[in-house]
Amino acid sequence: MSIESRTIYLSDTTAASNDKSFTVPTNRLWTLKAVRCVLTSSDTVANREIQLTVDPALTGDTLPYIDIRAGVVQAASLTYYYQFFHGASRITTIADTDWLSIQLPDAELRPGSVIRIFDSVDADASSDQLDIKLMIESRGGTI
Amino acid sequence: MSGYRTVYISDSSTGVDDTTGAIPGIVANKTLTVPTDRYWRILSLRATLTAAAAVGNRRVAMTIDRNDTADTEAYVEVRAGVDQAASTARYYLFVPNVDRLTAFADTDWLVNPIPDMELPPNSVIRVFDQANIGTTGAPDDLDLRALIQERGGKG
Repeated sequence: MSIESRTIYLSDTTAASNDKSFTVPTNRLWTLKAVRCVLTSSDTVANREIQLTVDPALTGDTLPYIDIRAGVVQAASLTYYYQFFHGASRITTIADTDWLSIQLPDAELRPGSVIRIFDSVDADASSDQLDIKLMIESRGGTI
Repeated sequence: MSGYRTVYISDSSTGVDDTTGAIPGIVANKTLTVPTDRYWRILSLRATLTAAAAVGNRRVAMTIDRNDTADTEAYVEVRAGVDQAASTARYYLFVPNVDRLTAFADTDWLVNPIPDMELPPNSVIRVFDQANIGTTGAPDDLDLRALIQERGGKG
């Protein structure tokens, strides 16, 4: 396993989803450096709540080990931009009408770990659109 | 690959200058691109925006993208979050691990935290006015000063 880290970009913009996950490959170690998510809510009336979790993907232990809440709700028919990173200042109200920053732990994640970003209310899984952009510090594998 | 060194990078060109070509309609807009054989870590990014007389509130933002025509969305987006009116000069500092200010200090200074990470080659750092205020006839002026920890290349 290589010990040298490199930063990689990961993206998931598949349509019609409010729940997305990324799994650390079996021969990699990941540190989340930045997570940007853009949630475009449908006209279904409900307040969405963005949440980020990390769990070890064990069948006997399904609870998250990291649980970060945006802490601000998003109503129907809006587009909000959420920026997670270590060292961010947590904002408790939307800035610039549509932007929020939230802190992340500075943690290297073991292989198999699952990073999940989702609407904890599950307001409209079929018509909400959740786009995720990750910047990951990755080590291991073959460069 | 050689070791780390700190480099100073400046773009104080005036007017509508955009180092990678103008984005239509946006006046205050500058980018710095990580060279193909380098890795960059932003230690400090200082932006000075001098707003011209065109009426409107400027809203400065900083983004990082992967410089891919098939994937043009930002991966990092940090908003200054405070408006800047016409005919004023404001100083914005983007650095890792600082507290975010929600109003200008000392009448004209604002600081925002950014992620502390190494950027791969070809990544694009962009500072711009999201509100798209100004005209080419009376442009705003945006100056960038970046302190970069760099590795790669021949040193």
